[in-house]
Amino acid sequence: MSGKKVIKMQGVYKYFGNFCANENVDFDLEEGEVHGLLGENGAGKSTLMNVLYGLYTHDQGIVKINGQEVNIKSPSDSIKLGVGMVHQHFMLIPQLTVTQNIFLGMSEAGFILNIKELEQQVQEVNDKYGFNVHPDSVIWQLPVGIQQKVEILKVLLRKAKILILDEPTAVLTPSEVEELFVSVKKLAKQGYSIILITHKLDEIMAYTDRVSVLRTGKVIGTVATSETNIDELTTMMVGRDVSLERDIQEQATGAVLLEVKDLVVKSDKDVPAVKGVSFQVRAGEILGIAGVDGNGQLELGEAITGLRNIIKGTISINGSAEMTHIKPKTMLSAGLGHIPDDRQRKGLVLPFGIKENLIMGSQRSKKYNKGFFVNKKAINDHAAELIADFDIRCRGIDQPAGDLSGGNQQKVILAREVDRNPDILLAIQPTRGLDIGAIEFVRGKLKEARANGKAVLLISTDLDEIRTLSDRIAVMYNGYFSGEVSYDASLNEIGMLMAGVNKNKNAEAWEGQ
Amino acid sequence: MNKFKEKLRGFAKPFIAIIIAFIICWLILVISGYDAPKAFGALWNSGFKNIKSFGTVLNKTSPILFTGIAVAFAFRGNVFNIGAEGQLLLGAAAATWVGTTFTSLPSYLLIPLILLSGAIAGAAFAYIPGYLKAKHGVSEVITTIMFNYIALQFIGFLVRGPFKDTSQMEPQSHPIAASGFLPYIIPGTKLHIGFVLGIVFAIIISIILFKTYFGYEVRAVGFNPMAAKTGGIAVERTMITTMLISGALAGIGGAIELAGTTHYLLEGISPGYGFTAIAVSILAANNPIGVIFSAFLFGLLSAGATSMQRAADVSASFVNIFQGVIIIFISIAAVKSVGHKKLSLKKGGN
Repeated sequence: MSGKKVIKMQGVYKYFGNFCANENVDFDLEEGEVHGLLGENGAGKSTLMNVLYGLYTHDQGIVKINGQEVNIKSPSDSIKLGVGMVHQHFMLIPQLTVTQNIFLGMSEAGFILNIKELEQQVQEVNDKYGFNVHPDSVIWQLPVGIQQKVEILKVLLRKAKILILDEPTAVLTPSEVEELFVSVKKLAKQGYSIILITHKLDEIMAYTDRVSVLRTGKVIGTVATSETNIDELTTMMVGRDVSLERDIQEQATGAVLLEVKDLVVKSDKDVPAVKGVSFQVRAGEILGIAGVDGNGQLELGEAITGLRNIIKGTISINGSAEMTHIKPKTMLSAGLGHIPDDRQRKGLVLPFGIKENLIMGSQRSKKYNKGFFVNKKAINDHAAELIADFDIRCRGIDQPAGDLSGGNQQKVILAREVDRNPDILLAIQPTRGLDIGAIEFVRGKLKEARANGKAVLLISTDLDEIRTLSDRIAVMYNGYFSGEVSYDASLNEIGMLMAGVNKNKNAEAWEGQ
Repeated sequence: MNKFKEKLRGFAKPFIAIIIAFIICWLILVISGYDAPKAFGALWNSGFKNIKSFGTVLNKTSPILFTGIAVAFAFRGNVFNIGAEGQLLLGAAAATWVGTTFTSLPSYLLIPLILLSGAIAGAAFAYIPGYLKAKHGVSEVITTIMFNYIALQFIGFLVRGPFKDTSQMEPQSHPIAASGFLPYIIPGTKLHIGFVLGIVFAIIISIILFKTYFGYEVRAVGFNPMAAKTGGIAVERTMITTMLISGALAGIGGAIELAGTTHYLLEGISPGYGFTAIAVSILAANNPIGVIFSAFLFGLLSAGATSMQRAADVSASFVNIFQGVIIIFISIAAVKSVGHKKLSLKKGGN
């Protein structure tokens, strides 16, 4: 770091109507540093960066790039000034190659493309920063981690010296995250300046030089990463102390509420994804199912909710008979609450208002109907009540669910499911993509369900989550349970199981077939 | 107050689209050397000159109104029923059979029976594409389009074969019993009760969609079938039911056209009411109440086409251009509002 300020923002305001998204923001970026921009969903991080990138125009304040006051009107202005942004959602054309995507829209490439020469250019940058991307690969065949790098290459080849990365790790696996930051560090060493937008504290601690924390549109503070810690940052970000430590008391368990026997389920590719899994969940306990993504957990969850056909085996819920053919409705009325893995696709009807989403699954209940007609008042009251109870931040009961932030969307689902007072709660990846405040809230509700004597089945790839919430942990590997351990098992032990070491008899029996 | 404003805005969009389309069509006429005031004057007069012409427009509106509600309802449930035309034709055929078979029944029995037969025929014809979509994922757009041709050929067969009135030169059926004719409601006009029934059905469908749990399920399936399924809604059954109701509405439209206007079956009984319905529904943003107004506009245009030709020598097909331009501007408005959504999402999420 040279200490030279490449970006200086002073007293920046940005309004949307009456809503102030950025209030009196001061921000600076030094040459060659990785600067974290931390904040909860809706804190104004992306807004601020979109001002810098020219997608929005600020209403007040000064923006300086390399000491010059600038007036950025559009992304093409900012690119000329050497600012490039890598968006959270990739903007790549899947059918084209890496090189074709990179030079798309760049007039420098000329009218007639000399693909060989362009590929050469990509390769040079590639080699310089150790990106390991084949210039002639077709995008859709590449893993997301590589696609992310293509996005970064795009920015680099447009000669940007200042890189804004908007939640770059949201869709990456842990090893891809590692690799990404090796490249980011390399870039910083070569004099690039990088802004990293995220709400993940561990990334901030591990990979940044300085960090600025935003809350409700204001900068709470900028600190050197080496002089702070996770607790301090959390408090700055959320505005209060938050603890995600394990704090559940041992308690006696009750009757078996969910029993799965020898379950076999196929994946979308029509091959067995769950290969003879059996387990029980009792009242008053949380069973956590851990495992690396793609080892059959999702299919297991879908089978239990009735969304996926069961090939063999049975499920019994709340003392019911053992069933093989089940529909979502059967499980719902038998007392299953379900927090699906994909809230936008499975959990919510995004164009529906909050109040309509809050009655999904209970729309036929007497409570919400008056004879032939829906009981508007009951539905409205119900929505108002749950919005207050679950602290759903919204404009009103009619606001479309699609307008809400991820955390609030998850709260809508949670409110709906918890309110139905199910005896069994199945939560699949319940905190994925949420900020720390929302994570604390969601986990709190799961703990509450357990304390109230519900049976909770938690399927998550987040090992910390599994370990802070579960009474027992089952590890899934390649379609079967590679082992079951207590919550206090060592990380090493769980890690071994996740890697498939210590196969149990089930697995051997399956493979013998 | 806010809600009222939102509703007002919902009405403003198609209204503005129509006005812009009107201005553009006016310019087209002027540039092409036609007498625009005279042409549009004739169009206006054909609808509003006197009570008789007004009645004619409302009669033209009736079948469009029924097919319009049919399409709007299906679109709400994410079922793209392009087959309202065929369902209408089958409805008319069933009405013909009932009206020429049970000739001794009194009006108060025969008319309901005719309408019911239209509904059943339309629903039955829509069931097949609905079933294929729900159970086997066959695109209903393709099947319903193809089913239109089946219906058209079937009508051709009926009026040349089993239904043929041998006393006529043209292939057409015997007229239905006079007791099956829909009663005229305003003396001095040929306005039959079809239009009033259409309004009643529009209101009923609107109530079903927005005030009942069944409508909730239809809309949920329409927006996000996966979330609906996860929420315990029987998605496949809902889709089939949606298609049945849509087909029944189009079928009633056919029965009404037959028993109210033509009184006998002929191949050309529908000049494309089922296809016009798609535009009518889009213009009304798939809102059954809105369909009443957009169907009226399209009814007016089709009733006025010929008088426009007579008065100002503008080809009757010109109204098709008018309709097309309206749809273009409505589509632009729809795309623009999607664009706004995206921006507002951006500012919300981080």
